[in-house]
Amino acid sequence: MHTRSDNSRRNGMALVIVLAFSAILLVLGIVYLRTFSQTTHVTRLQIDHLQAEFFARGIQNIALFKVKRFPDFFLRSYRYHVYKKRRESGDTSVPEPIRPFESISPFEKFTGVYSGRTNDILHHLSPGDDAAWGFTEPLNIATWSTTFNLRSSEDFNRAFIEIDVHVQMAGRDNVGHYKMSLDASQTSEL
Amino acid sequence: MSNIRRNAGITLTEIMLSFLILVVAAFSAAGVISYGHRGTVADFRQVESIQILVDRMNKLMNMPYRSLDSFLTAAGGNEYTFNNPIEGVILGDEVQIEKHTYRIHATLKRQRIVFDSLMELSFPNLDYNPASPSTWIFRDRPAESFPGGSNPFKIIKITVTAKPVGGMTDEREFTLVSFVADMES
Repeated sequence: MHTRSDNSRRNGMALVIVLAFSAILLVLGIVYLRTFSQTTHVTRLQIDHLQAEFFARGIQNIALFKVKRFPDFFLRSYRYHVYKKRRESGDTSVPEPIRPFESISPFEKFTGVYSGRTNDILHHLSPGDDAAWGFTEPLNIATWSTTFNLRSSEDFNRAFIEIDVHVQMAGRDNVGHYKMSLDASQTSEL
Repeated sequence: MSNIRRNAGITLTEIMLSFLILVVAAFSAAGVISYGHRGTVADFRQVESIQILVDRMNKLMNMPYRSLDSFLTAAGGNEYTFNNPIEGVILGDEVQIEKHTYRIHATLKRQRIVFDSLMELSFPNLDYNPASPSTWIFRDRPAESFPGGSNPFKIIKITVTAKPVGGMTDEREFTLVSFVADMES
């Protein structure tokens, strides 16, 4: 008596259960693949970051070599740069220069880039030189720049040289900032 | 009685169809899991190859300039790719690290550089006082380049590459580049 109505209700139940089970499997599969693809993306970001960091360390070594090659000029040009800034800001406690300031200071020339010169080995080498020297290959670097600072105390007898390098990888919005700080104390030669 | 038979037949077809769908779904899921597993293994090997890269690059960068330069002198060129261990730095075409194999190469290259736009103090300057920048006069000086030859190279470019090999998938090669300067001369 109850057979027909019960069977009618059961018609299609197995199909519904299997379809529901399949749908769950599909969702799980999509989530799994999505997680996997995100991990791959993180790996790419990580290698970009490392490439920028090691390249920046190399540029810092070249910048430090430049400072060591011309230490007297670096220190003097930096002091002259500070002196010029003080004069230009109206500080009357510092004497006038014996010769008018030139438009481009010695320190700006030391850094390698200034008005009219935008490429240098420490500041985004020109594409022609980069290709000829094989400087950045095989990396894909959009741009880089270097700044020098001298933090002084004890009237420049004790100082800290800071070399900051900024690197931007091609296709990335963020710019990595890498700082090197060195004690540049002057010691007497025995 | 005839109703029961009709209903029973529909259920058998239904079960067969359901089983078919289930089998297709199960195989698809197994395929996805297998693909994901391959991807996870590949991802692990990539992360490991990045760690190898950092390790090799740090070791090479910590070597004195003269050691790196001597490797190039021994190799007989201004640029050379090393695929055998050098000074304890393990390199090779098939470097076994636990269960995985990697190709790890290091290229050293004497790098040409030029320092342009340099200035220096100008002498004679009768007013010159070392303690007073207001008395200093600067003048341009020639660019200094290190192209090799009589003015030897002072920078070595280090390029390290690592790539997992022998895996189930063809995986990416990773590269790091840096520079070491001759600070001792």
